[in-house]
Amino acid sequence: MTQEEILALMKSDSDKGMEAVMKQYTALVYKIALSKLSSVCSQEDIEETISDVFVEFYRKYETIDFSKGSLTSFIMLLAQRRSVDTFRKAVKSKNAYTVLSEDVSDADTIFTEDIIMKREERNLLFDCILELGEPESTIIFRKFYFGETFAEIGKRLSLSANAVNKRYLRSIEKLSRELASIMKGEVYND
Amino acid sequence: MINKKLENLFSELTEEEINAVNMSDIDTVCEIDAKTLSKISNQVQMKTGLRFSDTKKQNVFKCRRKLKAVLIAAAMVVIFAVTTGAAYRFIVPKGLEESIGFTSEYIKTVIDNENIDEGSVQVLEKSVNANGYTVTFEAIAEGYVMRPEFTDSLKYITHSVDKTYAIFTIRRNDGNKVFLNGNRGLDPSKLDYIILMHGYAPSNAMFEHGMGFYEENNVLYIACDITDAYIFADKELSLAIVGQYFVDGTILRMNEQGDFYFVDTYDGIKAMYDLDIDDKYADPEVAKELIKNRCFTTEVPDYSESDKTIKMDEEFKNSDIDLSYAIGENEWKGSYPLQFGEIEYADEFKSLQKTRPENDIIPGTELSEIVWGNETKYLKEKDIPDKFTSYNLSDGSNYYYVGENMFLCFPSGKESGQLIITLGSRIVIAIDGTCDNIYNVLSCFPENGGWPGFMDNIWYLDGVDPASIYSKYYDDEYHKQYIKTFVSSDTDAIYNIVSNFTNFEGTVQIFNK
Repeated sequence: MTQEEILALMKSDSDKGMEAVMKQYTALVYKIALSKLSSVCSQEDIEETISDVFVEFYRKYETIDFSKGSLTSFIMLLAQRRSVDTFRKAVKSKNAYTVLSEDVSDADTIFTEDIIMKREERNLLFDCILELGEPESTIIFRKFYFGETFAEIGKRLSLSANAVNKRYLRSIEKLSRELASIMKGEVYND
Repeated sequence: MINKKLENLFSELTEEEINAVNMSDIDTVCEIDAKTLSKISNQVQMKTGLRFSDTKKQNVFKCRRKLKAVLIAAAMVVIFAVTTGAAYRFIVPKGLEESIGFTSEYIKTVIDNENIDEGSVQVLEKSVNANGYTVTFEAIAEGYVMRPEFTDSLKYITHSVDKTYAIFTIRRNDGNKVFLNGNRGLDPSKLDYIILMHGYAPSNAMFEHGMGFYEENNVLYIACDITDAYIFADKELSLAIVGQYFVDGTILRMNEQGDFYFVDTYDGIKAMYDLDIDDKYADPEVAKELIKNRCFTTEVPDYSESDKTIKMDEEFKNSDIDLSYAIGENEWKGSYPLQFGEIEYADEFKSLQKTRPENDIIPGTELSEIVWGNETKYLKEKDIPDKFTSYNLSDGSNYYYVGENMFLCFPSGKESGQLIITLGSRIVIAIDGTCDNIYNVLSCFPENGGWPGFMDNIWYLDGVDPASIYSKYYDDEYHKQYIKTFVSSDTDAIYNIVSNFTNFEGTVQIFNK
């Protein structure tokens, strides 16, 4: 169903509309939640998070501004925020290690200025990722946002896992170089 | 560091960033079992008061969770257990990661590669208990190493070079330290590895392989570069852990065609593994070119008096492997002009200096005398061919391919070595001497095909700034003229060039067809 059809159904019959939303987007939300929470949360907590995403969607879907984004991006944003909230709570309560930093031992240090990238650097990095073009930017996105393997990414892009791997490695190297040179104010010609 | 930044970035995207993502293919392939889906659906209904018609099997996608090892300290060994169709296990400690230029993360992605699952590359995890050692072929992994180079605009950049490695571990059964013969010297107590083709051992120059190794807790971790082996995947390839690399020193010979060849000898194969690479990776044309460039020949000279290249210690063989190899039975044999190394090379040429060439030189070589300073040297009487041939010989940090037809050999940590120049497929100039300033030597190499090749190997030179060398000598009129005389193929020019190598003295030996 298109996003317009879904929203129309939501307005006419919210039960069927939400059922359609969940049918279409549960997998996506599950993927996002899993990639962010699998290391710190139980399956029950992950499921709870997912359900909270759809509950929040149910309460806010009428506020969607399609001039800014799509239904898909709206749900992704909700999924991400809920997952991050759950993550923070889980880390605080369990004092778990994270893969964000080898030296992180508790939630308070996760989000200090030393660890969070400066906005300027963040914007530059994101722009560099988009400038990679396709399929490299998709590879980077799917690997880091969804935590997909090269094999999984390859299936989506009709590439072999090995080809995805090589493109990924070269993209990483290119991003590293470009970010470094831009931050230093140098002009870099490849 | 970039990976950390990416993880940070994607841990929480902004609304703008999410909207900027290409959504055309964002629907994921993820399988949720019916029970989980039902639970989520029920939770939503409970929290919202909604009622759905059917919550069974609404979404059937496939999703695979991976166990994710957490890096707690940089010095710890990271072990991944990947539950795929085949059981793979590999151990890549931090030190080995650094020595071979890629990380366990890359190895893990290779293990995830479906091609490996399909058996196109064998991950063996095979152990052989031999002569007090336990040698385990752990895995084959792909990664990349960085190489510096100059762009056309003379900007110094680095680029990645794809590499494929065979990962080994070697342990002594008595728990003592394992020593690896990294410089391929003559220490019989050390182990080494070779790649064999049809049982022969042309591996040193043939496959141009490097090696990273790391010792921890008396376990030796080795990453053997087998990248080139893939080109020869249609041949019978194997990888052997051997004892002493040379039994009785270098055997340098020349046949009637003027080919130099060198016979590797090994003492005691401790363990051998088939590199069961799918022959779809074979590239006969590239292989042919590689053989030619590295001075190999597929012809088999009559070396009936030769010793076998492999000496096998049958007591310690892997029972699954047939170790009965023969030489000269329509099998090709690798040959290449020179084995660089302080002991073998120097000995060989010292013997030539002491005697008249007609009596003692390898059959087929015709040399005559030349005067070089106060020393009498030997020079081939025939004309030097015009054609330049490139010998891409390199072996780790000691040998530098400094340009087309030229190699610099400096044993690690020493100031003496050899400068090798070729001016054709049959000619080699060997300058054996000392140099107390490698910058001066390197600055003399010509522009013609020289600098890019040189810079490919500059990675091995610690503390060398290639940009400073290049910029210092590139525009020098003297060296530009110098370059022109070098490429003229004139015998006198050769000596002009040689005489201008700063601080290079000593023996000049020229061999020709």
